[in-house]
Amino acid sequence: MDFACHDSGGMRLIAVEASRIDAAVAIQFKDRVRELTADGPMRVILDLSQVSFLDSSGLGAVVAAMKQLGDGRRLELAGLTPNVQKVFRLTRMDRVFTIHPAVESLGVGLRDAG
Amino acid sequence: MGHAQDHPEAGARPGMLPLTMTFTASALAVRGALQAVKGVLREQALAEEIAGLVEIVLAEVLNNIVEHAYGDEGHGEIDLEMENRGNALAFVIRDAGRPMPGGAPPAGRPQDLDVEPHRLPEGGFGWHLIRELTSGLEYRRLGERNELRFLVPVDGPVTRH
Repeated sequence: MDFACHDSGGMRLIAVEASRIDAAVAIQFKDRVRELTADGPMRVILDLSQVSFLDSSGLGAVVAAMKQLGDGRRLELAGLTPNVQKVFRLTRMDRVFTIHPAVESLGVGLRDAG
Repeated sequence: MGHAQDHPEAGARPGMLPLTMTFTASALAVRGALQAVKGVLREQALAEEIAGLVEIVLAEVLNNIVEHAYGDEGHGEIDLEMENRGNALAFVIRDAGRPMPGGAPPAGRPQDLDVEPHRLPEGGFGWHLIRELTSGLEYRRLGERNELRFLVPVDGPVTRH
């Protein structure tokens, strides 16, 4: 899976460039996000706007990614598509994560230098 | 085009229900099966929202078979049947893996999320999702095979999701 990583405004923006976070790639996802967040800003935003499907394995991998950040660091989500939103809502995990409608609503320019 | 195991044989003309499919119990073949099911639902002009819910349910059911019924014992096969009953889509899923523990599907009770972040669960969501989105869930062990039946409503309660 590919990711586009970009620091701006005190946040690390990680855009998931895959349409599915599911059982086939959950472990890969978790490992890659751990690498991408091994250091860097306290606040990490996972942009899921290109992800049209996430299953319980994917959800678990997102939770694991959050735990991997460690004390004081936050994992927030942005751009949840309808079916991904449904999974977060049905599992009530939408109450656990801060979820932004879109990366744009975070007020950071995509062209800002990190 | 991908491997044969990723593209299940559909035992029905494209777009026609009932659909019957057999595919390898692997995560990649499950992806292929989900795509095939969605394609058929699109042909049936069923709402995208319904197709989305079907995909969520089937992903959980099928991945459970891959991980638990077959587990480390190599890849078996999964049979899937889908038919349109008008007010619901009816599914029958069969596999030749291990029996379900306790002879019944898990209750899938919601987990306690009111815990410290480092204690949040990373698993155990699947059966809750399945039970939330289906009705008439039945499991039977028939000889050396598992059979799971369920309905995904096409109208009514599903709109609350």
